[in-house]
Amino acid sequence: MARVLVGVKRVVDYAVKIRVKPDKSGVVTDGVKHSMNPFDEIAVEEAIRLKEKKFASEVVAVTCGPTQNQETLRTALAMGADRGIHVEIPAADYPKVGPLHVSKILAKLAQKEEAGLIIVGKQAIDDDCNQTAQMTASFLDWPQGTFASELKLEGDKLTVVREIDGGLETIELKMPAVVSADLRLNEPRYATLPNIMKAKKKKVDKLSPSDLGVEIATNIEVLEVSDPPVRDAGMKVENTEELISKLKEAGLV
Amino acid sequence: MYGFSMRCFSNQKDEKKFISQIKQHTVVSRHHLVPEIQLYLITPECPHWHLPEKYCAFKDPFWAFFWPGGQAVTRWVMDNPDFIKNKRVLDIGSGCGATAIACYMQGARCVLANDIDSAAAEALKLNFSLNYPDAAINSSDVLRSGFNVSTTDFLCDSMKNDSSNSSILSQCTWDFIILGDMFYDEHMTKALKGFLHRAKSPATRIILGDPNRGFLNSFNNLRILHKYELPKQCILENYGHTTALVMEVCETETV
Repeated sequence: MARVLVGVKRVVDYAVKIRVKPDKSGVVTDGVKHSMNPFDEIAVEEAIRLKEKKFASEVVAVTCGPTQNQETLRTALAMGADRGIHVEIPAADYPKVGPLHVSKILAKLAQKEEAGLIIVGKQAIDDDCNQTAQMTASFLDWPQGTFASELKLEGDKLTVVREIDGGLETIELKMPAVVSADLRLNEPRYATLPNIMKAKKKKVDKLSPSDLGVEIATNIEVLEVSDPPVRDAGMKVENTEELISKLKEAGLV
Repeated sequence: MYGFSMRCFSNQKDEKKFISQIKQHTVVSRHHLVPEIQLYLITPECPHWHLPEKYCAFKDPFWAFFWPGGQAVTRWVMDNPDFIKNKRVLDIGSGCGATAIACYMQGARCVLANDIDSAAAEALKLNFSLNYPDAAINSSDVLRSGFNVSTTDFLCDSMKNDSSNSSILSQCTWDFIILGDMFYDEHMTKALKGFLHRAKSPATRIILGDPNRGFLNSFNNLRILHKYELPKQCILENYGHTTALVMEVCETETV
C-alpha cells in the first residue's frame, strides 16, 4: 500500500470578486476570504478514497506558505488526511514562491516520506500555472498522469483517464507516480463537526524550505497586474433587416 | 480514604440547562456497533452535524459522538460477557459512557466511568439513566458497587506517590482498565504510555480500542484481541477509517 502525498494551496476563495491593487503590483488579498484551491480539494478527496479502499496506507497533506496556510492543512485533515506537513515560508517571501519551488519541495518530501503517489490539483485558481505536477514528476523522474478524471490502482499499476482536448485518454503508469486532479475526478466531501474536532488533534510537522535544501529565489519579476479591458456595450437589434443596416453602417458588409 | 472529585457545574441551574441543551441538539441513537445501548449523540439528522464549529452550542463535544476505538472496545465487552461479569472496571476517557454502561450491562461488580470533562460526566450520566432509569449513579468520593462517575484527572493523580494510598489506581485492584480511542494525539499518547506502564500488573488487564490513528505504532507490547469493521455512520464521522482494533497491553514486548 502506498503512502500518498497531497499538495494543498491556500488561494483567494473562488466566489470572491477580485480587485487589483491601486499600485497595480498585484491583487488585494488582505482581509479577503481564502480557502483551499478547489482542484486540491479534489486531490485530497481522491487520496482519502484510495485509503478507504485500502490502496493507500497513509495520506499526508502538504502546504507551502505562511502561518495562515495551517487552516488549509486543517481542512485537509478534517477531510480525512492522517497528518500534515507545513513548509513554512514567511509572508514577505511568499510572493516569490511559484511552481518551481513547490515542485522541488514536493519532490524532496516525497523522497523523505517514501511516498508512492503524489496527487495535486491540476492548477491553482489564482495563478493558473498548471506546472507543479509536471515539474515534480520531472524532478523525481517519475511518470505523470495529468488532468486525471479517473484513477484506478492495482498493485503498482496506476491507470489514469486524462481529460484532453480531443476527449479522453487512458494511460497506464508504473508507481511511484505523480497525478494532477481535474474537475471530474470526484466530488469532494464536506468536513463535518466530528471530523473537524478530530482534525485539531492530528499531527502537523513544520519545516522550512532550507530544511529540504530548497532556496526561495526567483528570476521572475511581476511588472504589472491590471484589470482586463472593460467590454464595450453591445446593442440589440429587432430583426434581420436592422442587423444588415447596422452592419452596413459600421462598414462591415 | 481519598476518593475522587466531581468538578461539575457550579450550580444545579447550569446543570439543568446543559441537560436540556443535550436533549435539544442530540438524538437518542442506536446507530453504532452496540445497538443494545441507547446514547444521546449528534448524528447526521442533527443540524449540529453540519454546522461549522463556531456555531456549535458546545465546546469540543467529544461526548456527543461514539468514537470508533470506543465502539470497538464496547462491542468486545458485549461479546465477552464472561470476562466482565463480577469484575471491577475502570473506564478512562469515558466520553458518552458507552463502554462503562456496557460493563454495567454485562454484570460488572463495580464500574468507574472517568472523564476529566465535566460536560462529558453529565452526558454519560444522562446516557446511563436512559438505559437504566431506575438504577443509582454514585458520584460521591467513595467508590461503591454499581455505577460510579468521576472527573479526576487520573494522569496527574496516578503520578502521586502510591504508598500514600491516594490515587485512583490504588482505590481498589482493578480487574480491567479500558481506554476506548484515547490515543488521538502525540501528547496524550506520550502521557498515557507512562500511565499504562504504572498501571499494568499481573492482576489488571488493560484493554485499548483504536482505529489505527497511527499514534500506537511505537508501542511494542500490544496484543490484538479483535478487529471490527466500522458501521457506515462511524465511517462518516471518521473519514479515512474503516476498521478498529481491540488490543491488550502485555507486560513484555510482543513479537
